[in-house]
Amino acid sequence: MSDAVIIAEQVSKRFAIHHNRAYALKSRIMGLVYDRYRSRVEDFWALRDVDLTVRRGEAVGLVGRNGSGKSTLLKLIAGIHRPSSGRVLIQRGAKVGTMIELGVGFNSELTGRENVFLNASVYGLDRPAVERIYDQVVDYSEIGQFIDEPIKNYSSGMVMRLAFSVAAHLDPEVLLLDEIFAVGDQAFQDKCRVTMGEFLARGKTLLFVSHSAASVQQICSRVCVLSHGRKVFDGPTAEGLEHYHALAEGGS
Amino acid sequence: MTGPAAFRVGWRALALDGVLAIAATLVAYRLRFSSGEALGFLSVGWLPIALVVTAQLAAGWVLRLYRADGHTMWPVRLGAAFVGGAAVAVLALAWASADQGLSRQAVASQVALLCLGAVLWRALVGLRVREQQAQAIREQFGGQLLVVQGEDVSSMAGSLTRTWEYRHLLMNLVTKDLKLKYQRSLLGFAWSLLNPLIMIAVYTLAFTYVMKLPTPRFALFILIGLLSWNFFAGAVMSATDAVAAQGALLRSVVFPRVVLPFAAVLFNLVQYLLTMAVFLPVVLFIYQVPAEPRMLLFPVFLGLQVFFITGLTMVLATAAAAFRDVKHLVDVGVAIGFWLTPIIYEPTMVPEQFRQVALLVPMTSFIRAYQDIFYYGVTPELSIWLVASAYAVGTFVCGLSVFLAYESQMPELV
Repeated sequence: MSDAVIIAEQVSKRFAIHHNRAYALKSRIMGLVYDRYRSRVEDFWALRDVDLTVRRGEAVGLVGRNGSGKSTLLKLIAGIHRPSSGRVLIQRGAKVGTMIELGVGFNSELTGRENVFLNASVYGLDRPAVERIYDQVVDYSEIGQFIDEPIKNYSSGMVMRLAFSVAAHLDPEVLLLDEIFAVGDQAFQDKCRVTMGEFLARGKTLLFVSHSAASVQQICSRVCVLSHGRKVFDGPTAEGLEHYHALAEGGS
Repeated sequence: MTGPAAFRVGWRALALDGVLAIAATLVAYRLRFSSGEALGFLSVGWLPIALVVTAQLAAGWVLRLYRADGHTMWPVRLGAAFVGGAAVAVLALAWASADQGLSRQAVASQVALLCLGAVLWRALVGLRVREQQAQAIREQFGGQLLVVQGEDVSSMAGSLTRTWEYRHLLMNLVTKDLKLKYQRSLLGFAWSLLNPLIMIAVYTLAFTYVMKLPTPRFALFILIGLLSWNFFAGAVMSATDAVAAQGALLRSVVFPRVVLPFAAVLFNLVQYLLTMAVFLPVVLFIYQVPAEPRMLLFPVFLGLQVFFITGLTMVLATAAAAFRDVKHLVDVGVAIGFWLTPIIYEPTMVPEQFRQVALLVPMTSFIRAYQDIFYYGVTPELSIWLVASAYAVGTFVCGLSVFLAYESQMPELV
């Protein structure tokens, strides 16, 4: 148990699925009196009693079919959702970076430069820190002179590249990464993988959600397979991917 | 200071609050009267006083302040119990004319002292519980320093510290809004001046020439109330949406969500200050109002007002994340509030018997303070100070605790 950076203990997550959900207060109030106004709530357990320990310097892949709960687990570890039961422990003071969805904080009216500063501050960077990484961010994104154009004039690939570039230069100690290698063209994807490799070479920790067996094979030393919200395998990459393929075939 | 079941409160907490309530009463009477008089009042009024204290504790019991499952939003429960319990008891005793020996002023300070003491001991217990949890984790994992994800930001102090670390985000959000508002508009900032200017002209025309309101220097009078109200209304309306409109961002990045309503308030504050900086000197000059040291009280009341507005917007933003119709309710509320607040009419035009109650309309104390400072040229009286401070502190603390109680659910709600 030495040097654990992330420990998930018996983590479960329940989402309430609202049928006939009215956001309206009316249905809440009427629901007190009349049954038919009551919105029916069904529980959906996205995760059930998952244990996971990630140690410093590890690159762990989270794989599983759609709806297996891997993104939910990542979000619980990131602190976006709270577990319904169990708990997630993080090493004190460890900087945890997330790449879950790219470019959500971007504003299309602002220029690339302005968006870099805004987006980096969403991740908690102060102005001097952004200034230190700014040139690298722009170089890496290959946006060039368009950086001072409003990003509504960018192609979607350019926006994604810029967003990835900001996230890639935040330099966290632990990176939580959710399936975003579909960014940009083949050349840019290769560049992303190289960046991940460098990140790991510096002794950082990575938790990586992916469908792509190739990416997982290339980057991760350990794989954790989820199925219907439960952990079904945790071990070396090659075995884990076999397990994952068996699951995928069995289900289809 | 929330925390898992370790933070159990029960009979011991009730007893402690009871002792505090009695002590607060004694101190309050001593503050209100000289020592001999206080004893006299206490010997006559011990029964009504005992009823007030009992009502406070009973209200706390009803509001689950002493139950283990009642520690979410406990500052709200605590405030509602001690303020509400005292108010109900005092009104009931007055109605039954059994309030002999009961001093309302002393009861008011008792409530303030009791709230302060009760919050203080709970905060201390919360800190200790936290310490014990950290210790338990260290022991379980062989001395490793681990923290429960999200736990450090669920307390008020923790959340405010973390928000301070994200102050650059706050600044960037405000600058972004200012930029987006004024870029590519020909008149730019002039729009922000033109709008109140037209409003003031129309109101002045309607109320002094048509309706013959006797208020002299009406343009100065309405400027003070109207700009301050616009700040309030703008902040409340934009902040209501602040969380609900950011679903995608909430689901992909972790940051203290309070930054969102804070940014909405700050953006409106900047606009208000810019508008004031242009209009106030001009109008003061036109009406030959001399600069006085009293005007330095303006930033003090403005600060209180900002706390009040921020607290209110945190509640509204939380509610709007769960229910979309909060936005419509806010629109209606703002429209009604405008006429319940002395913006167009003078506070003295309110019928005598309602004047005390009218001061309790949320924005009234602040606007009356500004009118006293700039229009009537007097220092705001004690009741205005008290009401404004109570609204500022109470609303901010309650707003923050409501917001924090639901912060972790926001990504799922919106």
